[in-house]
Amino acid sequence: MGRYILKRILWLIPVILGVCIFIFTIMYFVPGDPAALLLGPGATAGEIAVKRKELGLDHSFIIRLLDYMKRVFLHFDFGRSYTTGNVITAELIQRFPKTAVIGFVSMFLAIITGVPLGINAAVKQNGLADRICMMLALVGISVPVFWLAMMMVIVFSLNLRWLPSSGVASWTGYILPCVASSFGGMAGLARQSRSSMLEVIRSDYITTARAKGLSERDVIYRHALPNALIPIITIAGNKLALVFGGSVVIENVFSIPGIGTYMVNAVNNRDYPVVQGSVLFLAVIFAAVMVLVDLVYAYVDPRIKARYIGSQKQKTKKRGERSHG
Amino acid sequence: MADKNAAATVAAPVKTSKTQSELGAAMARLRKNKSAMIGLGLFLFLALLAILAPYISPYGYATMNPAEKFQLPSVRHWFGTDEYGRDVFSRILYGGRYSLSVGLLATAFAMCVGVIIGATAGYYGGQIDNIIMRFLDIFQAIPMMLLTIVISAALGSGFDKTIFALAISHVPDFARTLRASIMSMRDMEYIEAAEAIGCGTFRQIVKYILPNSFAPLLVTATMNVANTVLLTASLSYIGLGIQPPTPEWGAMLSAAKGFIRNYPYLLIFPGLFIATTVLGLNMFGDGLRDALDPRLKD
Repeated sequence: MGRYILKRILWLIPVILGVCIFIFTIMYFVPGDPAALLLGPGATAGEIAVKRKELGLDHSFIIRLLDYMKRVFLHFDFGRSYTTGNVITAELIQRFPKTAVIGFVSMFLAIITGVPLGINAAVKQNGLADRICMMLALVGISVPVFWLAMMMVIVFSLNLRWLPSSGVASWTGYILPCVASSFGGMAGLARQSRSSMLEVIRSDYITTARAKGLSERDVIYRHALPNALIPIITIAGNKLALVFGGSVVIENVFSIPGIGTYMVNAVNNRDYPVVQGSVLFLAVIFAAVMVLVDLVYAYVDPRIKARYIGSQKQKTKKRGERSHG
Repeated sequence: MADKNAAATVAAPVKTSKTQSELGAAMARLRKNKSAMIGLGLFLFLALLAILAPYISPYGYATMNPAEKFQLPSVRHWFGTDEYGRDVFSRILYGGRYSLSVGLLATAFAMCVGVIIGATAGYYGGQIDNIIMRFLDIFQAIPMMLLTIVISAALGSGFDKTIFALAISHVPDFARTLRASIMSMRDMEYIEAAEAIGCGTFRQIVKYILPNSFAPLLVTATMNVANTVLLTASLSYIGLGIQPPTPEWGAMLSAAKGFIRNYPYLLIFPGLFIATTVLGLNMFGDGLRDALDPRLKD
């Protein structure tokens, strides 16, 4: 088991490096000269050349990439913003708590509401509750998250005046953004949970469990649920990506000063180091979350445990054979 | 039954006739699925509105009329008018042209590239497969929204660039779908037979593997169009994608977000159209998946 965890965490390294190279490469091909952009339209060719040298833009792609990776991974330095000149790392760290609250709370909400809804729907398959749940889930995956957020603002902030429409001055400001951005993930997870639960309920061992007279509660919660959870966790990562990505846009709807807003403003100002830094930062955080999901998966799925014990046995066996030969 | 046997005696078209009959059965199941048919109907209706926009829209999508700005929905202006006095209903009809064609074109593009990558990985296997799949893993480690934002920010906004950005980020879905079905097919007898009669790799893939992977690809594609329509709206909303004054639905929402306090109706209708389009596609996609793979049926 320890080996699986270690392997999974080590796999994070090439993923993060790959993501970094990938994002850097995309940004490298952005048309336009950052130095000219930084100095404004009044700059002379000489000034631009000096600025280019200062920013290290006169080097080749590989040197710049390596330099960027060295700064990011060894010194945790994402460079400076083109528009404000602020240190990006400091901005990211200052903004991260707000993004983290929205991202994690909405992922959490999506899981604790979506999975039970789907499982209940499957247990009462084709009943009224099932139909209503699934229709709602279908609508949930079809509605643009940011639009839903705006509709909620219209209802709960502007008409009912229950909750603030923007900002996070108090904790009530987090309610609408979190609920709105969890909605799509909740709906997706409910659908997924239902279909994997249905598949399990139809399998033979559940019939056996019923035949030997177990109560329906035991059949569902002790026999069906653990097996249904495995595919649910697999798909959960996918849905969490949706929630996490959606919360970036949600921040914008509620003018929350998180990383999402920072990034979107940077996109509109063509402030590419900020875009690059924000995406890389969020992607790394997300990759770490995915590792956690995988570890939960390994904990729940005995097959992974067995595989690792099994492979160790096989290896020792092989080694033994070789020494004999 | 008799027809099937008759077809089977003719050596060459055996495979095609069987595919057709399977496909025919699937289509029959699909036609019986009420929800799928409603979904298809919704989508086709919206597509038709978009296609016929120049003939049925009561006003021009760019016709400004300052005297009639911010009119509430009425008989004259079904969905009201915006800050320039433009008719929102007409703009939504025209907007459908952008939203739907971005969705369809980006998906078609992603499918072409994805199929090539997936076919390469699935057919050759081994080291090539390993490299491609690890690359896709890295690609997909970035949440789709962020990935599309980065690519779109690099390319800039605009109709063609948005299609390209969305297509790139959806390539892995198709590559994985095709790879999975090739993996399950590679060792089947008819592929072996094709190889035995001297079929080249390319011919095997194009003639025998692709037609049999049609079902899963179609399901992925339907869901992808839905997804792309949603993503396009988000992109346009945050200032990428397609920008005002083009009447794309997300761009309309983006332009209207400043008027949420006083003129909320400007926000309601474009969003409803996005949601209805995506809902229709998802209903159809669900039905399609159930029809093509009866085992999944409840």
